[in-house]
Amino acid sequence: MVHEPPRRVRGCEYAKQGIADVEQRYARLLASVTDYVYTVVVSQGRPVLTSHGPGCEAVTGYTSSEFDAEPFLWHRMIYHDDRPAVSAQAERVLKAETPSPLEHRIIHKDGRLRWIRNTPLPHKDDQGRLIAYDGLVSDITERKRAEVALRQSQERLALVIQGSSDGVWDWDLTTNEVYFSTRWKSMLGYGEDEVGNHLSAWERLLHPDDRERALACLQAYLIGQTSTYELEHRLQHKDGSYRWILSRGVVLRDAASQPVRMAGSHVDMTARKQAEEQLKQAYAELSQNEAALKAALQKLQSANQELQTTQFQLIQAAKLESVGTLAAGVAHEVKNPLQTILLGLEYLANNLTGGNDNTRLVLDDMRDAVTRANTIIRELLQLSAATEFEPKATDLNALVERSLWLIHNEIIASQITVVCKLEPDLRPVRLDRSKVEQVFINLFINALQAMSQGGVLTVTTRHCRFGEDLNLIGPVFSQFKPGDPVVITDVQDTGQSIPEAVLPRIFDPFFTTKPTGVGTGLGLSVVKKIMDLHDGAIHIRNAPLGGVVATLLLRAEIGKNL
Amino acid sequence: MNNEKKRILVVDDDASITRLLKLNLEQTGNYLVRMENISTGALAAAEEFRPHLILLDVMMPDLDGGNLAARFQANPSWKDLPLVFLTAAVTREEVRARHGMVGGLPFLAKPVNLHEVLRCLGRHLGPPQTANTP
Repeated sequence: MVHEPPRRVRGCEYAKQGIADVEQRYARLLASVTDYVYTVVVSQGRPVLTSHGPGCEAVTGYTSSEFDAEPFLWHRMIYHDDRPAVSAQAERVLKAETPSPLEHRIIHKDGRLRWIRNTPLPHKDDQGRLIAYDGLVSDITERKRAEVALRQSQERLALVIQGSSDGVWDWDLTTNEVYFSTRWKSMLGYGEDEVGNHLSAWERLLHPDDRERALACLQAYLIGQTSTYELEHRLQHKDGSYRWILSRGVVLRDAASQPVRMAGSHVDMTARKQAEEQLKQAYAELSQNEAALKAALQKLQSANQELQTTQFQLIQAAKLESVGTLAAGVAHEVKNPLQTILLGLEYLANNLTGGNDNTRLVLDDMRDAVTRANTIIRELLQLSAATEFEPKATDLNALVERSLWLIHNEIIASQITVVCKLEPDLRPVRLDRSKVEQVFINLFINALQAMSQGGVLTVTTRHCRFGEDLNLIGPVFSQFKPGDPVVITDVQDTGQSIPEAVLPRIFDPFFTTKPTGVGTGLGLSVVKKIMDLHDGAIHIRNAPLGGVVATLLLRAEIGKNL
Repeated sequence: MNNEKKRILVVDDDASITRLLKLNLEQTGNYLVRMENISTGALAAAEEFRPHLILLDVMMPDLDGGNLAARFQANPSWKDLPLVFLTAAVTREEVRARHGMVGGLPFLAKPVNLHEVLRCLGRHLGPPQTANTP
């Protein structure tokens, strides 16, 4: 701004307006003046008179009269660094040359630096001698400032671009020429001269699978469907591999809103994509591991269940084992007194004088008691783990018949009808005869006791492959696989059913439903133990039409005849 | 006709059993019974008593029935003497499964009734000659 009062005024106008108004107007005018003309008169190759035209005050801060008053004012004003250049230009002018315009700095009257452009024009006489020269001085401070700002901005941008790992692209949509920065190219392994400066260079590098999506994304942005341009796509590296690139850009539009220029950056996100991929994979693996873990857990649970079952069986076995061990120890000690009692009873019976029926009855009861006590001991001994196991290929039909014969007295006494449905040519079974005989006897005796009012005992044998008989399902047969050759024996009575609540406990030692003195509660425990010993199975259930069916499964010998 | 009663040596450490066997068997009138409750004294008792058959307990202190049987069988004068084990060590079923024999020798499982003992004796010594039954 110029603060000095105006020096040249026209009196008629001041009368109409206030002084202040005029000063302001003058200041505004002055500020808008950026050029003025000067003339230098030359005589014999030396400048002799310089006159600075109107406007010089606006540019330099000094008035024409000030210049007139001080011949070296101009030279003094020149910024000292620029003085050699200014002098050189002046010398050329004085040599009657027409030098190019010179831009240099001056120190304005207000003390600030100004950029001016000095364009001299020599005047020559007819002989070609320099007589004067005019010059145009233009204040170019603003332009220079803008230039500096622009240069600094450009330098800053260049620095940013250089320092950044991003590639830069700048696309002229009117020509489809594209500037790809060095980094843009090196990101894909290319040197400065290895990528053409055309949009097609980018298109050529596009991954075929991404091409359609990439072009659609660009198009959507250019026609204004999307407000930002951001595209993740793959570009082919010079080594043939593909890099994941994040491209971002901004469009410039002309007055008609047509896109004319678009520029943006490339970020190599391959590592990030790979990390993402690895993360995804890790997650997938984790899910897989989780599935495996779940499966393992399930296995563990079922194993645990099996373990519990086994543990339960072990406890049962341990019970039987301890019962057996105890029995073996006790048996010998109990049998001797029983022997004494039995022989004593016989002696007393033989020496009874007179026909005292009650005494004889008492002696009979006592003899029965000895027999019962002995039965308990015998069954306890049968539970003992120490019993020998001597399996031989056996005709099960013959064993059934022999067992029936062994209890024929009891059968006759109980008025039971026995029906045998024994399959001819039954496959042999490898078994310990005396033990399986015990199984049959125990089952037959149970059946007889269940049919105290008489009935029918049916014994059926047959062979088949496991799985053919659909009745034989459930965990009790778990040791058999479908197709295993088996011999099945059914022992069915027509007596009382077993209460369903009791069924799960029937194989427990000392568990009995019979009246005291009738059963020991060990019969079925012995049966189960013997069947287990043979890797066989026994299943006892109530028959649909009353009575109980005991089904025995034993492995048949294949391809063997007795 | 041989009216001589058969002599039975009963060796068992349980005195009540030997006594009741003696009472019951002798009551039939067919047998003469000598009791021996100490197994180590059995050989000497046999020398003196000259039994037709020995009923022998198995589990006895000092010398068990098995070893005692071996000693009798090793002795030329007794090697043909019938020996019958009478013991609580085996069950009736085991005896039956082995046709009354264990280790080549006949067995009776305690508790055995008189009828079974008599049948066993009859099998080895022949039917009684002088039964006092009608």
